[in-house]
Amino acid sequence: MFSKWLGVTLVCAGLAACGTGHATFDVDVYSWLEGSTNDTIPYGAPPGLGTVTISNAPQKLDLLPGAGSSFVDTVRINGTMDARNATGSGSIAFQVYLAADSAGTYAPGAALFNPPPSANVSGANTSVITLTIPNLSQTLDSLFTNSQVWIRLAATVSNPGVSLLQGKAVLTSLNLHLVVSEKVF
Amino acid sequence: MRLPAVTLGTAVAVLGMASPALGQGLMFNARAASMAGASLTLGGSVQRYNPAYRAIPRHQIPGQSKITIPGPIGLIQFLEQHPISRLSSDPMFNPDSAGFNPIALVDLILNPPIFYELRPAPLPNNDVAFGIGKDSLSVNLGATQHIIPADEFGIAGSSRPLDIEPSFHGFHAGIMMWLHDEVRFQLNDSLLAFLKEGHPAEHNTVYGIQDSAIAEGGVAPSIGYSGRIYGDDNRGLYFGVSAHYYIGAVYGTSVGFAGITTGDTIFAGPNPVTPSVNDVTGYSRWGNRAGHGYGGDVGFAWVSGPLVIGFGVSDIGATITWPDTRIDSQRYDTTANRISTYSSVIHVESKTKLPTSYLANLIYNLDGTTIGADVLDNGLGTTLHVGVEQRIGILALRGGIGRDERKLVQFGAGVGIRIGPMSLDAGVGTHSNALSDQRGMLLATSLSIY
Repeated sequence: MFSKWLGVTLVCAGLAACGTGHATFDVDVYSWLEGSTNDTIPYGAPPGLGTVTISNAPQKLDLLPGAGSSFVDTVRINGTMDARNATGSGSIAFQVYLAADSAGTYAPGAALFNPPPSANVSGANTSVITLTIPNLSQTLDSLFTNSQVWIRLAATVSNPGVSLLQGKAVLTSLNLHLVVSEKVF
Repeated sequence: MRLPAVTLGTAVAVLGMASPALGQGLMFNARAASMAGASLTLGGSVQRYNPAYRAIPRHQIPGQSKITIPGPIGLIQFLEQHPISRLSSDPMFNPDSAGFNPIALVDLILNPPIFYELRPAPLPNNDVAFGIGKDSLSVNLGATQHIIPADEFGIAGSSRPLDIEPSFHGFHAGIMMWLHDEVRFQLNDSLLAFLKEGHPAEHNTVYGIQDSAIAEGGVAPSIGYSGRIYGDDNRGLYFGVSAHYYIGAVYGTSVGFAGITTGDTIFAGPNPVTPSVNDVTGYSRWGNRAGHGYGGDVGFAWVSGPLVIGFGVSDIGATITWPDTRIDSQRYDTTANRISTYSSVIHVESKTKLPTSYLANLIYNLDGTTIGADVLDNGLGTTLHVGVEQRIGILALRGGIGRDERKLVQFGAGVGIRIGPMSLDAGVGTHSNALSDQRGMLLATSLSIY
């Protein structure tokens, strides 16, 4: 989406900023999801079904052209998710999947969190789930040398109660801190 | 993304070779390096701007060498750091290497490793930070911000790399080769604020660069006269004049603007920005009808004992007419997503003008001390040099200060030992022949034969 913009920008920046060193990218991923249906996962789990996983459609994020030959040092993720429960009680766990293509986000290895961050919910209230990964694994780091990455959000709800567990998980922030070393341009 | 940087860097570097206009230019003489570029002789580099100096006898100014050979100790230093056997994998020359830095490559060409670099001009690295959101973009280039020029920047030069004009009784005739090039860029205010000051990108704003470039060259049959018109050897007025018929071989020019315009949201939709390119190029290739024009040089010099004062003007009225030029107008076609030519005219006449140069200088020589000063405006920038040489027996002590075309003050100091018809000179001098605001310092050595 923003590769052309960055392409033009980086031509200018690249003229001046080539060489050894580090480049840091602070990407507000949430700003692309905010206001769309992709930042919200409505959930509903009838009693007696155990756990139910609900997922949004994968979303593409365009990355930097030219970073393909770079070395990704660090990918740090910070974010918050609201579990806005309406009825029932149980637990909700949140997962983020990253992959090089849309289908890849459904592979188990694409999951960022192990275990996934979760919260117990009960009645009509909101619980805040914090999403923090100090540094992604090397395998997932390498995704950021591509010109695009796909992201998928999923919520797993568990309803041990006797009434319908219902509500929605709403992403409220998601920031990506990417440190690329050596050759950026 | 690497390619544009490398391409531009190489282009700048190549042009830089032809145009010693960045910093104080290249020096291959330890004596000049010792005096920050000041000249205490009336040799070729000074004669080019003042034809009157052709007539002043060599003995009038002591220390005018017949030939000077630079001591390439910088080459030894360079080859130690970059062995020839490993050049293919040397990060400096290998764009695929993680350590490749095109600025280092440009600096190398702007400042060839002839002399020993005591302190190279610092290289910026790419410790940069980007902030990216759907409706935000900012970049902090860190130390690299310093090399982004706030004013118009580029390189330019007007030179005569070959000048063969034998003299007979003051009259001289021959042919010279002439070259002229100018490449200028100017970042617009919004791009400057974005890159140099880290301002975030704004909505519906044009970010771009204005550029202008010209390159032309050819030969010029010349005729002239240089001689003393008043006084004698000890006290006299010298006059020189040359007329040139410029024959243009090739010519090219480009003037335009390239940039982008943001929309209501910084990153919205598949094409969040609108590219904008408007450029007019003109050229006359080899084989087209040659360019032609007239111009001249004139100069005066006053010699009074140990004092020589001169003033010269060169390339006066040198307007070249190119009778067979093609002019193309180009712009970015947002439908085809490429730059396309929307208008071409052929066989049209174009005119260019060589920059007129002015040189005022003096040399004062007394009791083993020689002082020199010069101010040169070559139409592309002004330089100023002041140097002094004190000879004590076989020893010569030198020092100087100058202001280069980047308006940076440069310093130099050195020593020479003369034995018979030869002298060995060494000097330490600062320079700004690099893409950096900070000076480098080099040690120059040369051997002169008198």
